[in-house]
Amino acid sequence: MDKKQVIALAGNPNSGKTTVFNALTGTRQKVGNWPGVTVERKEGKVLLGNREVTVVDLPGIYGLTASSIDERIARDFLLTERPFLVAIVLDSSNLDRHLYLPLQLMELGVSRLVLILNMMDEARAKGLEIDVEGLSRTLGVPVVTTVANKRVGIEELKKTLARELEKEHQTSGFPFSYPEPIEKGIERLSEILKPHPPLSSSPHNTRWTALKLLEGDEEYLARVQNSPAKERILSLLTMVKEDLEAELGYDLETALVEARYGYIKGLVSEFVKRKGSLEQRLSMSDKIDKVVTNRFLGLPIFLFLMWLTFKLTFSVGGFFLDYIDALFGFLGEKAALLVHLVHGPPWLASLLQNGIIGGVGSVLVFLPNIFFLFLAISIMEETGYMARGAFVMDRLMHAMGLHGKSFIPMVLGFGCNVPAIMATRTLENPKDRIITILVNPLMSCSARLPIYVLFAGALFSAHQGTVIFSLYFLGVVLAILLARLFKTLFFKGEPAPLIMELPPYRLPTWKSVLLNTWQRSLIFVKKAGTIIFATVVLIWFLASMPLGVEYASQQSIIGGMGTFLAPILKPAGFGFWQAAVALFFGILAKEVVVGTLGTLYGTGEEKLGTVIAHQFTPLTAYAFMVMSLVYIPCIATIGVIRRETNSWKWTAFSVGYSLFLGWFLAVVVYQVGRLFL
Amino acid sequence: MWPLALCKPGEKVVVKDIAGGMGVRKRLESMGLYPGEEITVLSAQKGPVIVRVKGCRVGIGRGMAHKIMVAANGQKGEEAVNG
Repeated sequence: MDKKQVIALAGNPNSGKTTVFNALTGTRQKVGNWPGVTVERKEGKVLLGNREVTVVDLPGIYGLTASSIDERIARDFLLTERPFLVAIVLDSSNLDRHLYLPLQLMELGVSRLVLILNMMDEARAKGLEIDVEGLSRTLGVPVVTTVANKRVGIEELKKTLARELEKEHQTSGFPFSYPEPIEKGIERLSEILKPHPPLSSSPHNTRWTALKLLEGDEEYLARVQNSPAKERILSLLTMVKEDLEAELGYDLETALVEARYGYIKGLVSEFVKRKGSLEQRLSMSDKIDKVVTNRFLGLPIFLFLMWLTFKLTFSVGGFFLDYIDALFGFLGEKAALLVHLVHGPPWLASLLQNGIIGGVGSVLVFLPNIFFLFLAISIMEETGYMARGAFVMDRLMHAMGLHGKSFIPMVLGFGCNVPAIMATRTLENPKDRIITILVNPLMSCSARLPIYVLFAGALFSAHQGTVIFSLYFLGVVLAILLARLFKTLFFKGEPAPLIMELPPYRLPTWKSVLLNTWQRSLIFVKKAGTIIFATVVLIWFLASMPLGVEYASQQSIIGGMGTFLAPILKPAGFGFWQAAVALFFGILAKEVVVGTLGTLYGTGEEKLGTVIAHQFTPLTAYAFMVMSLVYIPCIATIGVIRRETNSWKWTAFSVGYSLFLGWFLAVVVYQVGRLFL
Repeated sequence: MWPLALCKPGEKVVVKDIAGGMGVRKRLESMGLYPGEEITVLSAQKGPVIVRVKGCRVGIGRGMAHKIMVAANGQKGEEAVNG
């Protein structure tokens, strides 16, 4: 690929990077994953002059030390794919900190940079006056000012990017250097690194490696371990470090950081003038934070917002659910009718109606719920509240051996485990992330509600609400216990310390909220569609074979499987083949349990309750519901667990433990219950 | 010197030392929190501590706040936030 076709967009989280990206590329975006990891990778196209250029949106990062997946991805992308141009989005009102990233990039040897001073309106409101020219001259890179959410400065930015793409040579050198003794130390170390290619693929790279070694970066020290000149390098490193620390009088790591921030402070005092008083007053965000992170008010406010999210997801999303369900039913009938009209084989009609449209449809009916759930999440993210939620929950989550950030995916699990598991991406510690993923399916997702409603309605009509609530509660308790257990068994040690920026509160722009929601919903449709499509064809096939058998009858292969599996369920009190088959079909999606029972008992769903009241007792019904809650994550969830853990081992473990636990608990409920009832 | 976790809201202090792994130190550093930097404590309740560092609000878990040593800077800030 022509190198001139790729521009990377970098920036701190909350710098408005996504807004700039959206303003540049519009809706011509492609969302995927970075190779090997599961952090979202966004790409978009932009027309610069007459050249179509790809803009790659790097993860929001603070630095390049690779302490989280995000930072490693960004750094590796910059080092290995070498985009022609890197544009960095900065919050103009906070250059003190936001200039740190460009400085790091320059140190890494990225020479073609464009700085985007975003949120200029906020900087002006704060009384800041920035000498853009001067900053650009000193740093030797173009600087553009924007207010991306109002599209101010975007055309100018495009022109600048186009101009930079045409330039053949970098015009100026690297403006920043460390105090002289440190520079000498870096040089001494670079000399010895030079003949060793993996440590020094370019002059800048050599300097960067030397610097990282002096800082004590574990990743680079590990690289030296693989070098043939390992001993010489390490002994020189120790010598240089000791010499420098003796000369400076304190530790080198701090000296390096101070030098970098010192340089930035110099830049800011030279090029940023502050009008009016220097005093920082309590900002609006501080005032809001006083209330929402208050030790007494924080939790109730958080719970109230979560309740609102649920309300939106279920009430508004559920409103569309019936219509979509009816639409798929209609489509299925029409498809079958069409096959009949053209004298196609009956099996084709059945495959289309029962298999593909019925199966894929049963998952797609939840698209509105997913959409509204993501809408609520996007709003909470864009306003800046989400970070506070994690913050408020931090202490409670410590009881589970996790920290505050894990709470958000757990709550999302009540809606649907698929997006909930995707939401674990924000956790920087891989161990915390796997535990959160493993226990997530225990949160009763909305697909389990139809089962609860059917069974509780049929057998516990007087206490329906209490029974359903008890199942949600059981899921939460199990999640807490298992998180603790997995933590002690597999992941000893403290969870990663909670360090998170609390961004200023902002009014969200509808355009970006909707775009964000739409993109996430689309991923759900695509992924769920591919996995489920393959599975439904298989299950349909098993239900239709051997030839000539009635669809999904006891004589079909699936009926045979049901009869075969039923004895396993006998200790739990519901050892009839229909229950076994319903649970088996339920792997597809939990709500299919209800649909399957409907098909097998040959009644409409209205009368299904009566039949169930005949075949189940309250005790076996409760055991069945417990089984349905725990026994296995649905196919879409299994797929997403595989994708997000990137491990078949953890996927198999998740399926295995839940199958056993679900069966075991159902048996306990039935056997213990029998003693009392 | 005392841990950040024991600070009162409104206090302006200077970071003296950060204990903890390289990863955590680097993470804090890239957010502007490193030995020698002045920070303002915005909120310090039973849970995590919120500080202002280089104009940004950063929340730090209680455990971590015990590992960050700070010292007085002389004057008290005017922007006391009552927790």
